[in-house]
Amino acid sequence: MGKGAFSKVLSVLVLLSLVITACGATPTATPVPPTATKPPAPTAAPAAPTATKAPAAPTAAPAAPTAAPAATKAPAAPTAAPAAAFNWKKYAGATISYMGIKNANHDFIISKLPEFEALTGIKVNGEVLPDAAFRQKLPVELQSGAGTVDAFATLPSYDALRFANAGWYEDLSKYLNNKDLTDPNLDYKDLWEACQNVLTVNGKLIGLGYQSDAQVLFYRKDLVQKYNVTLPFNDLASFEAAVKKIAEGEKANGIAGFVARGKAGNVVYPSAPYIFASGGAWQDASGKIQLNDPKVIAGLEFYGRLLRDYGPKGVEGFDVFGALDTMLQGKSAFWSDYAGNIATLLDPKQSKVVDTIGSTTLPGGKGTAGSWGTAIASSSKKKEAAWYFVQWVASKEMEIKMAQANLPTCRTSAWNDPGFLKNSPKEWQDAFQKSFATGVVNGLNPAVIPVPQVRDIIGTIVLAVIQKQDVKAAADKAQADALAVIAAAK
Amino acid sequence: MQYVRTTEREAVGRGHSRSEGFIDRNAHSLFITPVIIYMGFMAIVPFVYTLWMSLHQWYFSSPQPPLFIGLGNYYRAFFEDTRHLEAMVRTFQFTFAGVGIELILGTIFALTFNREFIGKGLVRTLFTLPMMATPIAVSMVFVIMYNPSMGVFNYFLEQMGLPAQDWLTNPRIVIPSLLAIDVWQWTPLIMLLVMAGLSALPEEPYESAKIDGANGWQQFLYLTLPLLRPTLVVAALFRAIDAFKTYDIIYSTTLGGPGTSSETLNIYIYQTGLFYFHIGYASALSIIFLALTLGMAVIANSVRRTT
Repeated sequence: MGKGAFSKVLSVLVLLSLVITACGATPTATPVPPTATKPPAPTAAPAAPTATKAPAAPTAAPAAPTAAPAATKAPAAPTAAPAAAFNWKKYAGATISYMGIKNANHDFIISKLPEFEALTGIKVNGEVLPDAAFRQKLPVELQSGAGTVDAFATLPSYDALRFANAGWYEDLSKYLNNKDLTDPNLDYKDLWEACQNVLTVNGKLIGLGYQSDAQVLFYRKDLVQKYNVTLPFNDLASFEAAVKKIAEGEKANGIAGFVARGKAGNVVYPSAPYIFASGGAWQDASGKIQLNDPKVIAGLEFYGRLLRDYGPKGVEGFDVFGALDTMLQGKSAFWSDYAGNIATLLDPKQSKVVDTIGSTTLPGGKGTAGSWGTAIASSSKKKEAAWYFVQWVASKEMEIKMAQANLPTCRTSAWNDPGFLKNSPKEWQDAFQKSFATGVVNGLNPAVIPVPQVRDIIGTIVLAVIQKQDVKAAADKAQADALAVIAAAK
Repeated sequence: MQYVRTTEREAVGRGHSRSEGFIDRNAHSLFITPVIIYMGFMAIVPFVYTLWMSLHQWYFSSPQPPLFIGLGNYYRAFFEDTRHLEAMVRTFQFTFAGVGIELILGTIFALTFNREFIGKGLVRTLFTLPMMATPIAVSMVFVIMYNPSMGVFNYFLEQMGLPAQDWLTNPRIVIPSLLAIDVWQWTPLIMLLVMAGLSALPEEPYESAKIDGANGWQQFLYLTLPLLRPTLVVAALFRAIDAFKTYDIIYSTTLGGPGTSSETLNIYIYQTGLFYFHIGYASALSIIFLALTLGMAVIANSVRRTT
């Protein structure tokens, strides 16, 4: 082949590769299809044992072949039978995208998506991501305004100020009040008041709650008995004494006294109750953040010290899954975290401590109270279909099922459901109710706009405690940094 | 000239028109044009946009439009942001340490595989495998191995009677631990490049050296190394540019932690831009990062030219 022919062949190849790459590129984001996730064991399993009473509450009958308004009633339904005239299949054939954060409640929602599809004919591309990835991807999708996300999970204490400021929430009150679009059985008043309030930002209803968020102290019953520890702990000092006793006693067995999240900004959520128990708060009366307030430092210092002296090795790198794994393996006596983790701790497929795990209120008796809700993106192009999804997640039927799977919910009817009352440990229910009732509403994070960065800044204070550096200096620096960041984020 | 003659011949043969001749003569430019347009959109436009954005201050979710602040971001990056400067120092440390170790080890392996021994082919393939593995998968396996309570490395340390280490959660050991992952994965690249260089070395100097009575070590020091120098510089340059940009290993193991002790420039830019949402400032940091990488390449190139 001559030189000329070679360059011609080369140019043809270049053109071809251009064409191929242009054809191959898919412009839209393709979220993971919902049915790909096998129903995660912890949530699906517990629903089975309560077969004695009513079967797990049926949804408005998916068996109806046409969009007949009178849904066929299933027998012995514990909830009010679905009334006539609500057309679930109005938007059949639509496809919406949903993005949630990875925890037991959301895994449960994803596992139930086929039911939603059968009920409404709406296909849901659901994507559940771990914390860091979710927090990074969701704002990018919402900001792009391209409508790639229709419904998403939102935690107001983390998102509300920032998302509301950016105008990413769709006001749901107009859908809620629209009789054509809202199931009459939705029973909005059945939702806990706290869940309703938390999800109302600047007068706008931004989401329907389905997961109530409170923290409890998980503990190993056998160790607590062995060392004669009295629960609950009314103050932090007695808690520390108990942790110390167990840690020293169980050192040879490789069991730590206390485990909790230690990695960077992850510490904010579990350390909040200790700050509140020390008399501190994230912000002062005027709303200004106060990271170097002595009581805040005391709380963070307590938390960090416990991790440092009685925590497992490498605890500074633990996010929620690291701490969960430690507890599942039975390698710690106490764990302070989100109450919904009980579902995983009671799952025989994953947990070694199914029979020995207990729950109680947090040391010092203060907690946090929040709620996750499903929101609709203002840039969504399928808001009505997304609204159907939002209602379904928050519906009585779904909430009752969620409760029966040992997950904290937002509805009085779910908490009173006989299946739930029978299935879930009484001790846990009490701990949760007390913790939620006394919890600082939305105290899970400082109420600022640039939440991710401020969380990381707070993480540096706990790290200074763990690494035995000057905590006061770290707190002062954190306060200065936080003020600068908050000012720049307008 | 030969090309022109060909087209003329073709033109004469075919009963041509003027446009046919034009296409024939400029075929190479015409075919390249789509690629240039494509590259233009894919590479140049984003770069110019980043440059433009680096002159603004913009918080990603803010409803307000970006605010023009001139070189304010650059000033902040160099004179006010200690975290940035620390990340820069760490990145240079990581790069030079990593490339240095990889060069030494890679050369040793290359020299070893230059000789003949039984099973050479198989062993050489095995040594090349780390390079083929997905960085994220590699990082995940190393995270498990580095686990302080359940990991394999601490198990071996304890068997040998040494104290168990925190590895990725110890701010002093985290960078060497990450370097271990990097060295494990990328030494084969250096090894392959040096092997290529070795195979191109002439035989005659070695024969003369043997006649003159040089032993193996002297041959290596005075013959092999100087002859290999261009190869080594190229290999080092390749590897340094990539090591400077290391992201996947750090993201999937520590994400810059604990605190900021393993935070390199790339990770810091990611955090600033996509986690904290300071897009303007992150754009400025990216431009600085690009300038640093280019600077390194230019310096290394001039070193290569003078050797």
